[in-house]
Amino acid sequence: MATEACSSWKERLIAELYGELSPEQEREDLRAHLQRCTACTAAWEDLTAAREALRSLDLPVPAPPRLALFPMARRRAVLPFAAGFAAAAVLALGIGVGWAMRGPAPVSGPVASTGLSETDKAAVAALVRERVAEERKSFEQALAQQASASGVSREEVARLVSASERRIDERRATDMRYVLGEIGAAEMRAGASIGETQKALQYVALANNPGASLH
Amino acid sequence: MPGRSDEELVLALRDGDPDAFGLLVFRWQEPLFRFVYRILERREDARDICQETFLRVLRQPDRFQEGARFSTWMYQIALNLSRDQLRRRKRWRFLAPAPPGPDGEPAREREELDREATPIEALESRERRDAVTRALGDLPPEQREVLVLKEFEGLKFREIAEILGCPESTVKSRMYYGLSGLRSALARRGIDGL
Repeated sequence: MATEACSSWKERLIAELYGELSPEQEREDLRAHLQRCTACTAAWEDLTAAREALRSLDLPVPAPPRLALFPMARRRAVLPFAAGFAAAAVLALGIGVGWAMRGPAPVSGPVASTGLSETDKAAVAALVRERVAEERKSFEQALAQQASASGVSREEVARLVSASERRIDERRATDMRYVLGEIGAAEMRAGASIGETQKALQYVALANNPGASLH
Repeated sequence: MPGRSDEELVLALRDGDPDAFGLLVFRWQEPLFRFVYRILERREDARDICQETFLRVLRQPDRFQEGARFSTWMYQIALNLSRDQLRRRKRWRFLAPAPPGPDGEPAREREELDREATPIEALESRERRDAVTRALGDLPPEQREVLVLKEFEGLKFREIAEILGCPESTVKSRMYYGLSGLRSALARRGIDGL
């Protein structure tokens, strides 16, 4: 059982143990007290031993697992409430613009797999572009009407749309960096695992063939 | 942008800087995991708490008070979440199976930790580590928190008091009883001569 120190000296013992006792006068007082108080001296030794036990063992902590955080995907855009309905409309336009900005890219995948001729593909792509442009135009018209109804200027809407587009781009870039990092880490893990397996197999082979060598 | 302080990064995060959060996670992921793991002693729990801590930083950067230290705020969040987790664990203990390792750590992970040593050294070192870990685990939570923050995270008593929201004298008192309790527990387990 650890020895109990005098109650008025406990805090100072602890502060001294971690080098936080000051000023020098306090330390002098503590040293003088330890010379004449056996209980506090025994307590000091106990505290020192407990601390040593903690420090000498280097208690292990497993490697932290990778955190699966998708920063910007979880972040909600904070728009002033005063913009009211216009803000919601801008968000809708942002989605529409994002869709429009994808251009013919989504078309190429499915179309390519159908085996259409180049002329047909071009026609389908043109049709889709036309549809997207129409959608975008109708979005803008609807927005303009809503914006004028809620007292927000068209310039203000354009500014918010542009800001929204920038946010979308930044979010894509962040997600892309994350995905690339994950791919890199997965490759490293797979590489290390393959290396370990190969090594293990070599040792198994050695154990079964005493005369063989690794190289 | 390199060289920004943690506090500058939180303010940037509050202003919508997408890279600020990633940098904070990059800087604090390991220290935070280490801290939470020493409180909870289970890898999966520690991972969940770390994840939730970072998500709270991400969702509520407005709660960071200008002039405060980011680490203090982050430790406060993690500590509160860890306490909740310990309470939940206590509540459901009667339904849960006994933990597989001496401190609730799966055997596989413990073997990974011991991989570097020879078998005898690993065994001895594991016995000593288990004894200390158990003794730590048996301490009252408020003593263990102080002990981990001081001994393993190396914080000043003033900083710990700030995180815990209590006077510095209380922190020192908990530290005193924590170390004394640890010493007694180790003596009872027959590893007096460390």
